[in-house]
Amino acid sequence: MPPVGPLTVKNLNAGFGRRRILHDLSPKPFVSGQICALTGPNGSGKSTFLRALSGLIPSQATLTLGDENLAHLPLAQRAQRCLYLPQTLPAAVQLPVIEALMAAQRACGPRRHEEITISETEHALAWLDRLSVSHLALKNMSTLSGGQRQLIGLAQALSRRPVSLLLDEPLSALDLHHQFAVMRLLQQETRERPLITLIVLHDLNIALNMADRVLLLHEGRIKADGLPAEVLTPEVLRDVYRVHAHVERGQSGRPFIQISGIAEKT
Amino acid sequence: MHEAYRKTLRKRGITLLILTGAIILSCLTDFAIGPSGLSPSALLHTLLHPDTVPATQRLIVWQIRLPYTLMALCVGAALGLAGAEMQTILANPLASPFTLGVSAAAAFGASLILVTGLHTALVSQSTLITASAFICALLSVLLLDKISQSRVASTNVVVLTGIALVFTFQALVSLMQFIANEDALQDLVFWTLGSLTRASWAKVGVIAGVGGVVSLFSFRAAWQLTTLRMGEERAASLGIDVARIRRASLIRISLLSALAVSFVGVIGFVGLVAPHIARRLLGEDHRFYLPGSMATGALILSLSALIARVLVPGLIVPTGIVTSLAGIPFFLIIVLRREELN
Repeated sequence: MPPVGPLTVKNLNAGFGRRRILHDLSPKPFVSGQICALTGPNGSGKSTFLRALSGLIPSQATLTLGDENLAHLPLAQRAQRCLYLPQTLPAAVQLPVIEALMAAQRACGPRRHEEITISETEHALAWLDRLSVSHLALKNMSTLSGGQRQLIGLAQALSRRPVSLLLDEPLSALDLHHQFAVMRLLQQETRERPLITLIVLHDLNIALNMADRVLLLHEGRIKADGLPAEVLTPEVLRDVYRVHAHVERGQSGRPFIQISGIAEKT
Repeated sequence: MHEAYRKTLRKRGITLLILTGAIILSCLTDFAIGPSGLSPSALLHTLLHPDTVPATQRLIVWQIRLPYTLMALCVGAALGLAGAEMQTILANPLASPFTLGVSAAAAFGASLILVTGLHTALVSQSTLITASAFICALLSVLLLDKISQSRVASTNVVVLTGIALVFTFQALVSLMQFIANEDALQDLVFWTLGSLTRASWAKVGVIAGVGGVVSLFSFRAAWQLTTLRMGEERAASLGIDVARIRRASLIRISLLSALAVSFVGVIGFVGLVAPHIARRLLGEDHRFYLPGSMATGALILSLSALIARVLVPGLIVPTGIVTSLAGIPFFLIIVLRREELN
């Protein structure tokens, strides 16, 4: 598939009822082959931003992918392009993992032509394999741990092969090993497909080291947007997260954020 | 792994086959037993050569026994399907047309026409009864859906609303009984007890035809329903128009409940129990779960119909009483198994 994009968002306003959560956001276009980490304190509007992009909640904005206006597409087609992975885990139902993946494929009717060459089960198994969970294929969702279900949710999203992936805290239930493994897989997929990947992250060190770009939201507005090292500075961390912090470099030369205390409210 | 999954599929196929076998066996037994004491060979002869047997025998076999047996199958399958879809749509293991008041609403709808004696030149009273039952069932399902969608809705809130609906419509049906004349009263009692004895070929034809078409629509939505089972937000994020799927499903549930109730009255617990058994046996891939729940429902009602015939010698007990007595222990098991509720 040739690179598509970019994903452009202009004057995005969204909220629930009368409460406005996002105020007129116009970030720089999101380009394919790049991971953009979406960070910000609780309630800064990260999930709302992704939901608005995917069309799950109503919003006012100009949203285009390449030269296609996303707002004009029906939900099913929009999900083929911008797939949102919710923060909630897939429910613990009596459904074998492999069928959970097949259902995700079939949710919008038969699969697209390009992918029909391999069978549905093989396609599902291949994705489980890439996430190193193929041993779970025949286990019921109801018997899996939270972290395992999160991985299956991610496999559901990845196996749909969208143009843009919008991931809402996909690492929240994962252990250290899987956090790293998933981020590495996402990097790989983002570069190879290529994908436009937006990912909500709370772990700023992961954002600092594994994202290509960081978009920092604060109270529904863009606080900073750029290269991770340029965005995640001590000043920004103090203003937005209210912590005293500095960025150090480890022996390998990788930067990491060291927190030294709570900053007083200004 | 591929091979192992194939094996799972094969196992499910065999389970469905066994269910079908059990249904056939139950039907044959149900068909063969009766107060008239006809021998199996006489029954077979009547089936194959109806013109050569006495008129009473023909009447018993063709107009009483066969419709009774087939009606049990059709209504059981309809209730099994309605219950399965309801549990998926409302994400609630206690949902069924009976437990959440949809059947009671349909019974009230039916009683309304019956007691007022409403009929027109164009539409027969029995059609009006079904239509009225459908409208009341649909209204109750819409209310339940609204409540299960609201932000405060927990499993308990939906179940409690359902119980409120049951009580309300039961009271309304009682009111109808109070004001009904003698003839209508007898019909009403039949409705509230749930009985297969008024089965007829016309009714069997209607419920088999409409139920068959409805089930095709259900099967077509199987993948979407399976996805919905994993969470509403997830289903929507995968591109499913959740509101549309729910709406279509609610109409199907109302149609199936209304048909069942207007033909045989309120039959409890089949719609609750069948999906649970099907889920145990076949999992929640709706390609298997939906037909499995239909088959289980058909089997349960067929067995209940059989028990209803033999429970009191020489008398056919209303089937609704049998299913309720058998279903209540099961209901308690579901309630006490907390993990399913959470």
